[in-house]
Amino acid sequence: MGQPRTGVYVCGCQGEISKRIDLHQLAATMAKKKGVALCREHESLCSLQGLQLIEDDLRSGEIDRVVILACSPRRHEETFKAILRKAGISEYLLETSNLREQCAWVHEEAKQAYKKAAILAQMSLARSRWLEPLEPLRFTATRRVLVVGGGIAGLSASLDLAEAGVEVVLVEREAFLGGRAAQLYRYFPRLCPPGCGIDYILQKIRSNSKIELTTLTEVKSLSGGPGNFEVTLLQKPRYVMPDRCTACGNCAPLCPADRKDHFDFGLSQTKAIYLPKGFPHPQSYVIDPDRCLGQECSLCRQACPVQAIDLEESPRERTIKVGSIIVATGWDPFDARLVEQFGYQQYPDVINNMEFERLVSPSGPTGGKLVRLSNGQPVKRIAFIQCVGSRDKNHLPYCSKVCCTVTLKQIKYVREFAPEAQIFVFYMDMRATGEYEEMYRLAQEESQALFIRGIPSRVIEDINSHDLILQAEDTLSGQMVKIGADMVVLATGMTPNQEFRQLGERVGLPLEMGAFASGHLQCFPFESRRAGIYAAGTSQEPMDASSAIKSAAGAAMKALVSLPEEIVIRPTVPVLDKTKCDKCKRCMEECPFGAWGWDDAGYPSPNLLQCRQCGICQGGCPMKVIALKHSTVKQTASMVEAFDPSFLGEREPTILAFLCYNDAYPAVDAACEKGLTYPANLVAIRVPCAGSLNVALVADALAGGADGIIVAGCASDQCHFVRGSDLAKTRLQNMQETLQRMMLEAQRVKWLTLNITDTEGFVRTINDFVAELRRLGPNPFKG
Amino acid sequence: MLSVTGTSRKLDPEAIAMINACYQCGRCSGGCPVVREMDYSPRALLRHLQLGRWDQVLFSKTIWLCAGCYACAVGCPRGVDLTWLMSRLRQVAMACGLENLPVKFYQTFVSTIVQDGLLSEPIFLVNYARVAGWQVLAGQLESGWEMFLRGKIPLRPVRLNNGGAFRRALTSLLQQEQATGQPSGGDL
Repeated sequence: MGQPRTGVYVCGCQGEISKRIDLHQLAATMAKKKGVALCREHESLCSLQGLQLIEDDLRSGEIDRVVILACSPRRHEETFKAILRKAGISEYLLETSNLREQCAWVHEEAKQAYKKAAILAQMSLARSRWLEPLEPLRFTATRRVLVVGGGIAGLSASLDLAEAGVEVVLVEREAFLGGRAAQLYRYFPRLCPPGCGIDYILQKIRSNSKIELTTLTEVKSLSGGPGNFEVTLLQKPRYVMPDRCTACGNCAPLCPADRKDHFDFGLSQTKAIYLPKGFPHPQSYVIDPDRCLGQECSLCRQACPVQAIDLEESPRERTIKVGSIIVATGWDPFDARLVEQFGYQQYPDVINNMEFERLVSPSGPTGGKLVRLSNGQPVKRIAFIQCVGSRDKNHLPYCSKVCCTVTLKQIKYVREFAPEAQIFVFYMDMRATGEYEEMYRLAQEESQALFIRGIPSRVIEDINSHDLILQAEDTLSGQMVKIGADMVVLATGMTPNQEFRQLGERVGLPLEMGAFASGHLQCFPFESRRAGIYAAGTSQEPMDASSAIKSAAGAAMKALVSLPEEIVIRPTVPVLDKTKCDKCKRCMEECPFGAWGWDDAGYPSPNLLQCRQCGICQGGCPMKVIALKHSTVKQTASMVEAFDPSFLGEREPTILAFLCYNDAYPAVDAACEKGLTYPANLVAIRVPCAGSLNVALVADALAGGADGIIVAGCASDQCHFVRGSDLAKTRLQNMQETLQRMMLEAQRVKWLTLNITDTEGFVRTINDFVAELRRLGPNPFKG
Repeated sequence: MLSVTGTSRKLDPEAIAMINACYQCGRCSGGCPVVREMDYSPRALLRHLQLGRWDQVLFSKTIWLCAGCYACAVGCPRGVDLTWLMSRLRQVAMACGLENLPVKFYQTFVSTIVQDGLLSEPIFLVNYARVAGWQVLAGQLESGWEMFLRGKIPLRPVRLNNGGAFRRALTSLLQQEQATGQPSGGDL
């Protein structure tokens, strides 16, 4: 490439910059610098005229890279980048210096402002020598989505994707589809049977050739990133051949073994060979291998008229490639055994709200009759206890959202099946949002349930009659009440499906706040901690069926976005120099996104499609062999080297600040908006994330004579890259030893947490820091 | 004279955080074995605390009826240790100068132990009656007689062997508490 031929452009910004800084002098100085092919002044570089000027210079071949001394890069970097692209030059051959928001607009004294501008220009020129003509990276994408979970959210998301023209692989762990919704008697808002809704979706799925659906299938392992995941699926044996089985039912009566039916939460039993309840897919019997007596028995095989039974079937594994993944693994009811005081699974007539759904369902343990489990007698007095396990510091700290409305729905069931029964609801707050408020009114007015605002401490049972007694304070009247009941329904909350949680941890998809991805966060809806993997339905957070369907559409939309024909990513990726790497693995350990794997030679190798380009790896590498393109250690080092610590004169302390691009840099930019000024002693360098800064650069800056160093980043829990701020802070703390060896005071290096609105705090800190540095005296390495 | 000004400042931040955390679900009252004897249920008392109604709180029967059984604290979904809070409120009440029968009972109990090194029922009853009035003995006649018949009440007062050393140790501990203002060895 030869020597760089830099074009330097100085913008007056319609007087905003030129009023404070003598741009003629600056331009004249810059024009004489080595490597500068030309230097132009203009009043408004971002105008069509100004842009044309740059474009013409680029096209003429006189310059091969651009340095712009103008407003904050946050304002017009994209504008200038577009011009480079238009001229056929890599947009990464552009360097911008902030002479407005961080110079002309905030430093009152003209001479000092000029000196700072000159230093900023010098530093930008130094960096520009190290710029590379990077081009976006392209990868081919697999236009297929894996949906894990065949409940209402998974089914819905699959259909949405298929109708958008995308291939879907849908896997379900059980032998039936419909998930928890299939276990319900009715669901709100319309109180229709879920069978209707699920059946409707299933018809469409069956007739859509883009969806490949397998049941009794689990995810065994997965690797890769957006656009190219590799997933290994494990299909468990059914022991019955579905294309032969006619579901005639001859086998079951002969089977000597039985099992607890977990569809009914263990309240009923089936034989070891059974037809699953819900929506079995395919329509075929299944054998439970844990209960089946095996080859020695074979009674079912002998009875089967079409020889559909294969007791020797083995599990099958296969690996597929998909572009993105939707996790729709659903929820489990909170285990009410943990709240011992309520007697769940100690007293037969204390059940949870899902078991109640089974109780009133025609396919359930009592054939849909509302009777006591202890003695089969009709239920005459029934009590509901709300918030069991939820909103509880000892169990689930969150509110499970649906249980109040579920109870209101179940009150209607009681009226349907036991019109004369007395109904009591013990609650803390009734949360029936939106139009569900109408259900609350009906529960009181029509169903005549008595609502008692007070939670009982425990449920007591009479050993002989199994009658239950609840005592609570009715807080609205301040009186104690004591109620006798035939049945107590615990309105238990939702927890994410337990089995998938373990797989989640293995693939780097941990639960946060009790779910894979909290759905109500504004910044990353549906996204999990792993790029390309989205969460839909109750694997996200507690929600009702209609919300699950909506969330499925949202997740499908997001999954779609990860599926272009070709994946194009920005080239600002980390690159490893193997010649000096000692395989310490720190990059792999510190990466918040698990984006580093191994290559064949045992060196760390980044998965570029999983990488979020924060540069935390670069910041932590003790050998400095990782370069985050366009923010490399070399490039930043060149700026540090070009920084003259005596630029304001021998006696003035100077501070070099490394500001993170997300919160810290904008916070400092905002000073002018708030009418604040601060001393010109501070010169800022922007970095993608505070964590991307390698502390060797801090040592370099001090060795170069800077009196003070600031590293500023977002607050710990707000860092866009999860750990960047925390790691930067720790690394600075670990520098104490280095500082001691250099015989430098620890106060010279400061970490600053800067929220995007913290401008006042920043100004105060700078003023205090400058005063402190005056007291400490100059850095002994200066001059 | 019970003085309640500045009382809230006597509560430590941990207690204040717990009081604020209560969302009045009533589970504490539901489990309390003596709630029916109380003027304010445990939940209601905490409500009065939230509203700063110190006269209701410190003059209540509730804080003296608490049996310390922990049924409330164990179930509390907001993690309020109501049992501990009750004992703090008793301390606050006494610090404000409250002198009801329970207070006199506690004080006599402690002073008897300090004096004799252990609690002997006849001595204790006599000490208690002296401060509370001899009518308190009337209520004890029936159960006292039954206990006597079963040999539970020694006629000769029992005293600790080296009562002097024990008394000195305990007294110095109590003086230390007074001086530093910190309870020593946990809450009583």
